[in-house]
Amino acid sequence: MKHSMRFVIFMMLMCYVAASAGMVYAAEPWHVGIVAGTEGFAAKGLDNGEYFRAGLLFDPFPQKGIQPAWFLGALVPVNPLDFSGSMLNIGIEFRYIASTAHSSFFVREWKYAPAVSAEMLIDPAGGRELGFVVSVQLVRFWFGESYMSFLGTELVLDSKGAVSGWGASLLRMTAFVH
Amino acid sequence: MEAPGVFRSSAAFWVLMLLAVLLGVTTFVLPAYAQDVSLSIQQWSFFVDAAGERISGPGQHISIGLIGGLTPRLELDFSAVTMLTPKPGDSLLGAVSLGYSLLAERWINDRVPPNWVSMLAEIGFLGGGTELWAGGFSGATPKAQVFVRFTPLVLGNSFYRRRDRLLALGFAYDLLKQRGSFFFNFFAIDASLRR
Repeated sequence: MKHSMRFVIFMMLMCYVAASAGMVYAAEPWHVGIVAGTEGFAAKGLDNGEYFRAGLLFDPFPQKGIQPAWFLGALVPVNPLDFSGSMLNIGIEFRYIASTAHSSFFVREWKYAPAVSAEMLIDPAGGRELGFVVSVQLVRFWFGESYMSFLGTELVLDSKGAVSGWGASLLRMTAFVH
Repeated sequence: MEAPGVFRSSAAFWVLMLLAVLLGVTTFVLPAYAQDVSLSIQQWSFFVDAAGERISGPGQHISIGLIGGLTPRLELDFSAVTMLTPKPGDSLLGAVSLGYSLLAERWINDRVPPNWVSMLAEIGFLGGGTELWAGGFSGATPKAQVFVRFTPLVLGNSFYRRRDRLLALGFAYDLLKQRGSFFFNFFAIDASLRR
């Protein structure tokens, strides 16, 4: 029952963001990005190997200040390869894009763009109760049409909301395609 | 006549030979062509060998290292590889490799930019210890591998002070267990320390 309630709240939050994005769409171009990255976990119920993250990020708001965005996709265990351990995910993130642009270190100009996110993990086969992941991406940069995030840290929660472990996202790239 | 000491082990012999070659190349070319040094961060994925064992893992691995340009095409890479998840620092390996840039020079001079896209072929050595959480440094499982690696996509170079190496595939031969296994480097980011 508690789990269902959390799911309903989560979905309501998603709907809120979707509706907000729809309103912004009238004035701003819709921004859709492809997400790819590598991840690993030390959490109960999740494999210890490497995961590949793939998905879409919907980030319709102007790329400045603090704004929400949401994402969906999949986490697939790739080493060792185990498609039966794949998980679907849907989540929301709040990102901040600094106003100051820098040109050092990278070839291209960049802005500091950290983000926090929360996502729900769903077993596509329906047999496992997976839970949630809360992540912080402090080393994240905005390059004008892409994000690059390094060494994101993640807290893994079980379906009841209790901490079941942690994870790390070595690299997460988001390239906007529309 | 039997070879003394360490040379009785063919594994140790080949490691010493490889290090000698790398050192020889370095001392031979460095005074004439010393160019630049880059800071490098790289991801590593180790796959199982025929016996179902990995060099390290399963888990995420990362390396941090320095790359020095030796000639317009040759470079020397020193890195420390460690496990990130599920047990941070459970493995600690040193990697040294000699790379040859294909398709384009990695460096010409500070006025002429080399081609933006190139490839990289490397030979190297990977050694150290794993399972440090269980046994500490004294009880770690020793590892010693020679490897070859091919990076099909190298974007940028020292001229632009930034280089990305993508989708590298390597084959490592375990000198202690006499077995081979593949490894993969999804990405590497090299930031030149050249001013």
